[in-house]
Amino acid sequence: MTSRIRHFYPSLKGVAVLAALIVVIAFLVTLTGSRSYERIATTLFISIIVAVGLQIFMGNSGVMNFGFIAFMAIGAYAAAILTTPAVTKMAAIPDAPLGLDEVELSFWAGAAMALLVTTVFGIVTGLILARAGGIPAAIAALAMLVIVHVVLLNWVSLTGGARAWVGVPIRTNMTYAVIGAIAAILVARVFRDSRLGLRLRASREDPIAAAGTGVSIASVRLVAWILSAFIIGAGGVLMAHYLGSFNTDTFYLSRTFLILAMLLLGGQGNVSGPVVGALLVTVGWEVMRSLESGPTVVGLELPELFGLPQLFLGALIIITMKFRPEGLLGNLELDEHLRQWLRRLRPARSDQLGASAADAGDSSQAHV
Amino acid sequence: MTEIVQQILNALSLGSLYALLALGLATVFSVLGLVNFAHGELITITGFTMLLMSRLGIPEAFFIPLGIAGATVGAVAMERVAFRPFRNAPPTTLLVTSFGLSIVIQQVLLLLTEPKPLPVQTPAVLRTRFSIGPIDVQMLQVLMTGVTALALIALVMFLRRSLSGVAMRAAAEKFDILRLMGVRADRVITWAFAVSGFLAGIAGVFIVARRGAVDPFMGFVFVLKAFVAAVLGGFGSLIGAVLGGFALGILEVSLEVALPSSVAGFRDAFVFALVGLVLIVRPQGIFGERERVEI
Amino acid sequence: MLALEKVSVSYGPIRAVRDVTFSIEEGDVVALLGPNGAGKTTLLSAVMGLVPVAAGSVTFGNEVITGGRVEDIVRHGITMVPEGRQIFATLTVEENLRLPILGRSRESEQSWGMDDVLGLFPVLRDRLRARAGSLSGGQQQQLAVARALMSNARLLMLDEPSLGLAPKLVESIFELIRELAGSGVTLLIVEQNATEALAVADRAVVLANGELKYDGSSKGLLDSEDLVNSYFGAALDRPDGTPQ
Repeated sequence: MTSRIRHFYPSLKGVAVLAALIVVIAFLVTLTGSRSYERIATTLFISIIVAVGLQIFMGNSGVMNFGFIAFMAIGAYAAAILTTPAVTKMAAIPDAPLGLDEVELSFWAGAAMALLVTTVFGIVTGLILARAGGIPAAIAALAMLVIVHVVLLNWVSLTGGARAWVGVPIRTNMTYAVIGAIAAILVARVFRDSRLGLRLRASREDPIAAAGTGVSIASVRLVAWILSAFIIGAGGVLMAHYLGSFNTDTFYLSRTFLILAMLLLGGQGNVSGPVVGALLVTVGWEVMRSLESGPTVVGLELPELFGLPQLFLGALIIITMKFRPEGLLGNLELDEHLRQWLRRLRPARSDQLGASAADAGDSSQAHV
Repeated sequence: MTEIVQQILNALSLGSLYALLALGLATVFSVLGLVNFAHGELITITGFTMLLMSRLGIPEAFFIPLGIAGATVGAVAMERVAFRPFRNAPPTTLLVTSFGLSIVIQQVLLLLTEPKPLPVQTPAVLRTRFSIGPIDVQMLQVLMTGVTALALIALVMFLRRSLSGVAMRAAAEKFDILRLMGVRADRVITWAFAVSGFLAGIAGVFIVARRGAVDPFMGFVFVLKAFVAAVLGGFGSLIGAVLGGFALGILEVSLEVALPSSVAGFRDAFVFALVGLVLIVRPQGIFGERERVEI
Repeated sequence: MLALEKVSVSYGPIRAVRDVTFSIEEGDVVALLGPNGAGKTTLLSAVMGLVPVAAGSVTFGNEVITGGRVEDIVRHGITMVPEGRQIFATLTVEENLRLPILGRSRESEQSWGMDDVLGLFPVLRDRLRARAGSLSGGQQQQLAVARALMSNARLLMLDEPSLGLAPKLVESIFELIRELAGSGVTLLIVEQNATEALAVADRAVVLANGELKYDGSSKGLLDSEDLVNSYFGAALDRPDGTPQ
């Protein structure tokens, strides 16, 4: 058992690096004392959870899943329906099935149930979709998102339909979001470096060869899919308890672009990618948002430019695909990059390099 | 009886729309292997071209050809500006790039106009109704079906008779070998995009005529359905795209009729679910061939 | 006519072709031989521009064609009949033959028209309307060569023309090659079947492990026991049938 854990030392170190990054950001934000920065940071951390969750499936398997926000939507709506005070619900959805309008669970109970629902959904859809690859899979996943969206929109007795859902108890603060993000990163990194993760990544590089080794790609993909659904669902739960109110469009196309951009910019091959990507995209987005309303910069009054943040996202996606399709971090985790830089800073100690390479655990982990 | 004829007309006209769009997608895919998410934006461009023409005071009669021209030019421009730099990229990168492109186009149009739908006048002839006996017929639907049939015939003739069309079919089969014969790859690809733009333009005109308005996001739902239709028919197969389009149209209208009103809003969900199931059972689509091992 | 100067081609870190230098004059018939994986197809692909040239230059006539686009190189007057026939199966025979017309540059002299080509390949004349995929292996090979001729190539490169064909068909393919050589087309033939190739070609170039091992007359190659044993294993028959 201990040798198993030792196998994951480098992964844990990697998680520590990312966790440190997140904690530092949270700390700096707290120092500024600004509520709005805190809000942006909390959203950032929740986005990290979702982006990392997406990476678990899409990054490791190489299969495009553009419908992943469905998991977030289900997690959010389930948590909201279960924990919103009965008083509010009985007014909003008096005809709810299963008498859900009278149910009022605590945050934790509601979250647990919501995650259960999302996981079941993940299992069912995974059994159907995770087998496929390539273009049919991408379109089927998108269809899944549309189906969930349409169902949520039309099941008025359960969700209130197109009306905004209000009254979710606000429970998510920055601390919860930080913990959630670190937990997600831990799961994703351990999965990536585990035997299952390696098999999955091997299938991404060469599906035919991997199939030939007797590895059932479908089952490994299914595991990744379900795990991904769980984490993204968790992001949804946290988001619901952070926003307090939302509607079906909150978890639909715009958020899909946003998270996708984060993953693509940072790099889908590893867990650090979505984290770094989320940070950059969030910063960029906020900058664009401030420009959108036409502020006065250095005495110049800028025009109103609606849609600037989204335009920025689209352009970012294109530019990334052109100049760095594997993302900023490429195929290496942040800690692996750091190790490489450190090594280059010490050229004189060539005999140490051999030792440090072994110590870094490079030989024990196939970099696929 | 009238009801049945009416529904058949509905199915045919809707199917024609999907067939045109799916065919446009399949044309580009068969030659280039590119799934063009921005295909929906060609519809939007058609609509906005027509809007622009009306603002410029150009007579209504020219809206339709100019709208179609706008889409064709838009498609060729898309290729030149956004896809040619990615010529050797893997298909998933191209897919993502086209996704990004579609967002950019949507947002640029949004920047230039407003988020709410803007009304566009289409020539009055498109909105007439007439009667054949007891049956009330919309001119638009008849035109949609008829024009689509003509367009398909024209396309078939182009692909079979003209040497450029033959070259496109050859490119769809073995792109590099065609280059070995001295045929300029770029030109063939431009033709493929021009064809896809032309077809999208025709569809776009009909869509605008039906809605009476344009907005920057009108393309998305259509491109998604076009994809579904193309994949249903067998992605890459042109005939498959057409048949898939009609199948989808028939499916959608049948569900519209069959579903009780309480669950009518779920129609699209049922459509996608059914199609999704078909794809799981038969990933190559109804008319596709199992080419590669899809693991 | 065609001159390769220190050409190297890489597949990633692997040098498939190393420092190859040789040239072909107008009217030559050259056999490019060597064991499997020697880099022969890679070399042809590099000349055609299908794969990038890592080092060195390729000149055709007076023009440097290294790094050019495939279509442009073809318009200069070189074309290749790739391995495995590679005809457009879903097109008809006639459509296959007419496509190179689209690829002809304006100034090319029309040395090969449809009638000339069909004269050389009567089998194809009877099956102009047939789907190319329905032709037999040997007929498809003929179609591939016929189509290449329609490009008005001055230099025609054939990659394994006899591959996968029954012995009788192999004979007729080489007959055809002899006829082509007779009508003045410059030919470069890559072949596994060294015996037949050397019978047709007056010059031979041997490639092994990406390097040039021999460049001279066919007779010279056949006479050299060392070379034959190193690269061809089994003994080769001389053109007149006498064993080595």
